[in-house]
Amino acid sequence: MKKENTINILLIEDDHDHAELAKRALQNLDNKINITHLKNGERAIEYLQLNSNKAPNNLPDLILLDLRLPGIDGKDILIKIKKQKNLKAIPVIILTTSGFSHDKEIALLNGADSYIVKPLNINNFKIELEKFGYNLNT
Amino acid sequence: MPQNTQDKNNTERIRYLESRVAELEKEILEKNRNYNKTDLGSLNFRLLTENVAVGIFQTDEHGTTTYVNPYWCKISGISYEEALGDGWLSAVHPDDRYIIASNWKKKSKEEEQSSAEYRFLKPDGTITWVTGQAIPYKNNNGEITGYIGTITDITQQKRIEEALNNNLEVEKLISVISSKFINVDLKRINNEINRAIEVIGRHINIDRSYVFLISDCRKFMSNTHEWCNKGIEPQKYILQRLPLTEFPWWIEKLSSLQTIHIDNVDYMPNEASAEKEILKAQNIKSVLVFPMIIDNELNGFLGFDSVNNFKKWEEEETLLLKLLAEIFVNALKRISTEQRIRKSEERNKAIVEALPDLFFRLDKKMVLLDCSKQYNELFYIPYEAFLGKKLNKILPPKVAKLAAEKIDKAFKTNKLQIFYYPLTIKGSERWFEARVLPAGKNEILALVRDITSIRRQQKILEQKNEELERYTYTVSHDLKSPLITVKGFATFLIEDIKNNKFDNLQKDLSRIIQAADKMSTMLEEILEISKAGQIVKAHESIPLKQIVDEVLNLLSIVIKQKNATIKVSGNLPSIIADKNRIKDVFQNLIENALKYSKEDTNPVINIGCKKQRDKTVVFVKDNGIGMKPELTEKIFGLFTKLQSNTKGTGIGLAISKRIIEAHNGKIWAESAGPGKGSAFYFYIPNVKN
Repeated sequence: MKKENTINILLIEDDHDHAELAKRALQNLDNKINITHLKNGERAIEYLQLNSNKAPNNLPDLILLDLRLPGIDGKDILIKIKKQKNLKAIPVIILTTSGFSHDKEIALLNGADSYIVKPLNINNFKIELEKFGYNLNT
Repeated sequence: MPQNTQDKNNTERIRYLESRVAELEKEILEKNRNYNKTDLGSLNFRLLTENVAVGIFQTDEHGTTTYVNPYWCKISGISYEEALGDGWLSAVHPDDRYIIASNWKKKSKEEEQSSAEYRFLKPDGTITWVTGQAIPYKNNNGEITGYIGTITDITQQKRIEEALNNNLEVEKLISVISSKFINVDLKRINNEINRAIEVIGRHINIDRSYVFLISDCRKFMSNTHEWCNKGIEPQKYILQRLPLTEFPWWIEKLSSLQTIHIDNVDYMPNEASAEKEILKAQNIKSVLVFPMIIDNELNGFLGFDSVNNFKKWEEEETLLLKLLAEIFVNALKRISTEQRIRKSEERNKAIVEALPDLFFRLDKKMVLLDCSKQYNELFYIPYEAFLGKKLNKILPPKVAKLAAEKIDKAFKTNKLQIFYYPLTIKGSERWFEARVLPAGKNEILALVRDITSIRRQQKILEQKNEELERYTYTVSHDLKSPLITVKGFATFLIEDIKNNKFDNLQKDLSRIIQAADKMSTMLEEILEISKAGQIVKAHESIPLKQIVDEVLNLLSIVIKQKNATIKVSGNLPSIIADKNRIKDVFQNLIENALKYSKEDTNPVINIGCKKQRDKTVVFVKDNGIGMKPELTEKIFGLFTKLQSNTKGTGIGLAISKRIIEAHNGKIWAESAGPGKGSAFYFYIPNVKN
């Protein structure tokens, strides 16, 4: 399946430095990237639900999700997304500080499509994108 | 020679002698009849009387001796001439003389046939026992004209009889002694042994009788009991702790169950030279020693010494004395066994009392037979109510089933089985560890230990471990976060410098510095939180009102800035705690309430306390932004904040939690939901009102 060149990414990240690092890394992609950055889980879920009801076209193509968040944490957000009919098809890539294999197992078990340890390495990220069927102009 | 064989021989000999005497008597009587009124001195008759091996005498009608034959002289030790008249009486043993004389006079007057047993005391001092018979003989008118009689030497027979009687008496004595030893106990045994060796020693007329016991790891022997005849010197106090190695022959012989039987010390074998020397040094001439063996080991010996004379140990006597040694052995053995059993019982009892366990004895059918009475406050039902009942009639079905399975397995495998179960005793749940093992084929022993508090401690420890794990995880995770920032921006910087792009340089470097600062703050806080877990100062009684006032004073500027209203209830208690730590808690809670206030509403903070069951719970309530109820636990985690845009690292509540827990108290938060304010509660035990 061929996808459009513009990729809409939802970044859920509370640490603004880490968000900045992710955004900069993604800029190195030649594709047109559209990043929506939300700082906590509550807002992210609100955002996704709102779009899924009213503007399905505005739903992101991909979600980058941090695990450790204030309030609802990443794992619970993941579970909510993957439980929802309209949302569960969106690939969720965990982007986290934790290199613990246990965390990775839990994430994959709860439906994460991929697991990346920070900081985001763009070359690795490209491979992930190709896995999800994106044709990257490199 | 076995006793009965000897008895038989003796009896035969006696019988032979008796029959011989009877024959002779018959012969004499026969002759008497044939040669009626014929003088015994007539030729043929004389030939006979002078050669027969029987003493023959003749008296006149008055009983005065008129003739004795040569054998009579031989038996009595006096001559024919000396015997005539009443002369023969002088040869009779002085002790028998009077009675024989008077009896003879009496009998002869009564003109009766008579017989008697008496002794001759020979001039050389030896004694001859005889049996004498006399019958009157009469003339044609029927008048007694004299007496004729015989004496037979029965010394040998007498001696045998005496020995037999003696042995019989020893036997009797031994049976009496034996009966005394049947139930002898440790207290009495020494007395009984002393008495027994004395009684026997006296009876067999020995010089010394004694017992030695081996002690001190079988290396030494000591004379423990001794009896000495008159004039014999005791050795007991010299013969103590003698090394066995000094008596190799002696010990070897006794150890191999042999009796040491020495009639004459001079003839002891060469290999017994050491022992011989010792015996000779004590002037011992003859010795008889019996081993006392317990469980195949020489435990001591019973000995008899003859000091004044050489003594020939008769077989018969030896056998009887050996019995005495056996009596001692049996008594000592029984006492030592009893002592061992008693000691082992005492030990077991001590163990049972020392162990914090309940002991139960059950049979194969799971019927409770017995149990220890201590810790009976832990009994599921009273002692009297469960004895003799089956387990499944006593315990809850689940527990009874588990126990039955384990007991069954213990029987099948003959191995200890351990299992755990809860019981509700006096309204509270207690946990038990039961160890069951078979005791013999039909019984099971169950040791049951109350592990409620261990279990509780274990749970706490598990919790603490989990907490520590979480803590380590969080700390490493959170410390990694600024490092990622540093590494990420540094990587971009290198790239930018390479490409001569400098627009982000300053901004990115300051991000790196901020991340480093954040990290060092975190490290300091980690240090602080580890301190919060320890109570630095000794607990003192502190009025909470005073602490709250101090904190409010400290925060007065922020309170003014935020335009906050603080209401402090007047009924705050005094608590026993580390003052500065509790102050930290209040500061954290009040700061928190101020920090998470609504933007459009002036903060109102209520500080007070309420009674909850037996506890006094302190609270800090606000009208701030609140939180979802499911997050009330999470906020006490390390470096967790509900909002990423507020200042600080979010460690305040984690520190407060640590402090309260270090005081064995509890802290928690409640909120009706976002926008509905929060309430923080804590209590510390031993609150003073």
